[in-house]
Amino acid sequence: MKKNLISFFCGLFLYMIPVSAFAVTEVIWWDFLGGGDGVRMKKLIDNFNSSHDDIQINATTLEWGVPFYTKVQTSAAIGEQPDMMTYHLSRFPLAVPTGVLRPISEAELASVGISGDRFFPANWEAANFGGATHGVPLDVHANVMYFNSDMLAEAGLLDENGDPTLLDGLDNFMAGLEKLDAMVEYPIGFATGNGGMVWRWWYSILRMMDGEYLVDGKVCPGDKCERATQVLSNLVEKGYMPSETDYGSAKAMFASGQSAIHINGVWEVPTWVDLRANNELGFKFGVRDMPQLFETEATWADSHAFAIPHSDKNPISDEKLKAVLTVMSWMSDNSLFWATAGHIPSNKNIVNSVFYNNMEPNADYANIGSNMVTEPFSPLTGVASPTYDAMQNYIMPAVNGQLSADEAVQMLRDDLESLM
Amino acid sequence: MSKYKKNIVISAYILIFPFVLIYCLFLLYPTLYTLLFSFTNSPLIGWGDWVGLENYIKLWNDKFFWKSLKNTFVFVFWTVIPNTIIGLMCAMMISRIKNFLLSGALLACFFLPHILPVTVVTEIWQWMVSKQFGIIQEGLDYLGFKRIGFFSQRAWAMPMVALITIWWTVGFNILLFIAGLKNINPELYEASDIEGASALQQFKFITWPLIWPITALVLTLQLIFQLKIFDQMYLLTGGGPFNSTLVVLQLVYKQGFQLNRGGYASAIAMVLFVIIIIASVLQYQVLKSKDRD
Repeated sequence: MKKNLISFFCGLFLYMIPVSAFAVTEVIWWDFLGGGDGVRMKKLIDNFNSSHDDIQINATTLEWGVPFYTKVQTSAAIGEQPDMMTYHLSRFPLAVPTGVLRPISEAELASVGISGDRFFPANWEAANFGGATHGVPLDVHANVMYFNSDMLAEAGLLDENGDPTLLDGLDNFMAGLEKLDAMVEYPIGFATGNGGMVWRWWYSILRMMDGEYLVDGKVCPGDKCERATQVLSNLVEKGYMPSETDYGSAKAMFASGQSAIHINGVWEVPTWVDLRANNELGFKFGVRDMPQLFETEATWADSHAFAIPHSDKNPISDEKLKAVLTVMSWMSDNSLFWATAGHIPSNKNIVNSVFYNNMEPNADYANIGSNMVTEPFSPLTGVASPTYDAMQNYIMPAVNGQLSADEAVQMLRDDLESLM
Repeated sequence: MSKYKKNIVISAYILIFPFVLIYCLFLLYPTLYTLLFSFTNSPLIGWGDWVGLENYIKLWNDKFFWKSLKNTFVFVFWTVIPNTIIGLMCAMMISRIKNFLLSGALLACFFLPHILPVTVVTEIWQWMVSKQFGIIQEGLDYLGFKRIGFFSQRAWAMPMVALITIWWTVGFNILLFIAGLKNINPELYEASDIEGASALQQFKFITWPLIWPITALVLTLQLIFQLKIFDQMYLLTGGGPFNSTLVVLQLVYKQGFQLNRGGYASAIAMVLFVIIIIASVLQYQVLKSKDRD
């Protein structure tokens, strides 16, 4: 009996040595990446886990949008928040005043080798909303134009290098669509029934006209919002775009050759790349930045960042913080792979690397970096903000011909200005 | 008090204790909390400053509140009475079928949607009416009609959500009505047959008066359920197009969860709470008085 006891304690002692030497810190991670980019993020997480013995990420993917951000807020209120999460930079103006994001000090960032100069300045400025760093930028994602190369070539809209021609400038664009209209059911497959999609293109057009969305407490000063709405509603009216089409249907129309052009975010790059690789896409596709319809080049853009939720009840421990910062730094250093999800890494060193510049199809829309426009810094804009709702509620019906552009924009003004 | 009586009283208290506890903890306490919240400018989480009646004054002047209230009652109009009538008609049809298997199968068909979660229901319908690929649109094509954006056109959005709600919930009403119909003494029908009463007369003078208590119950339950409409709107229309399907609870959600205004959202919720109490008590009293006539 005594012998047994001794051997038991010896065994226990031996068992405890490796545990204390290689204590594993678990990092609870929440994200909202559900599409092709979600698959790639899971791969990145697996790579991190297999290359780290001391830190293991335990990731959960949740519903994008309001549900995600509400869950973060309520979980932080009761101290059950994750250790880190993905967050849209456009939403920082809504989030920072609620105190749900834990500021990260310069020293903490420096402890894992992160400093502001590695990121694009606009990104870093957005991450520092409210006078402190509240997140580490991961990427920039923008709207792009996908096109069916075979159809565009047949319509004479491709040059010898495979670049779309004659689509810049509103008149050229309309003339190009007219040619495509003769060949295909709808020249553009666009989710005209999705407020978020309408917002991204609508806002791009507004900024191409040098129009403003929010200035000094005024929504849509001048008449450019009306004109941007008309551009889109005109496309539906002429039959160049299907009306009241949901997100999935718009993609399906492009994939099945019912439309020649598809306007969507870069996050759909993996969808087409994967389909093409599996021989399930019956045509050659291309990606370029959005057709420039007016004087200024402009493409709506937003960013994913990593942030640490803050809870008064259960603030993050030093040990976890160190692990989380390590994860953030590693992800930023390894974001070249994230670019295969279509996104443009926020880390300048990656974007300037030879590998990135040879990546297809990313290199084809690399100039987005110079003409992207982010959403105004306001609690009224950003992912799942009142603006997204208002687009669904007012501008989307106008695009589909149920309201005049003037009526819709006036309703938008009344609604959003009443929330200020 | 005899020992026996005392024991009964004690065991009664013990038996109702779990219910009272749960009722106080999960119903009374949050309701009182919401009431207190509605007098503050609290965010979604945590307390704010006491602002008295400010939220209620703001609400009185909020045109979106009045719009959402109107829309809620429009939805009630589209669902409560149709749902009750359809429920009664289906129940009468099923209870007339003598073949046990057939009536069981029919009842199961009607009841099946009721066991589905709302997300599944809305997903099914979104697929069916998808403007590009929906099967209903194919049907419209075949009949030579133009395709309809059911959730995005103002004229269609509210009736369509109402139709889906009826499809989803009518099974429960059918069950209640079948139970009521079974309670009617069959001799009444036999006697009236002998007297030469027509089917319409039988319905008017036997079925309708005797099923009335159930009808009143169904109407009242429906009124309460439908005033609380939220899920279908959130999932199908998001309140659009141009607020034509914005309902009160959606406004609560928008103000509370999206704009982080817990105090104001609580005030709206309290007003809806009071409206539901008044409407349902009033309706039940009116229906009951008809019963006595």
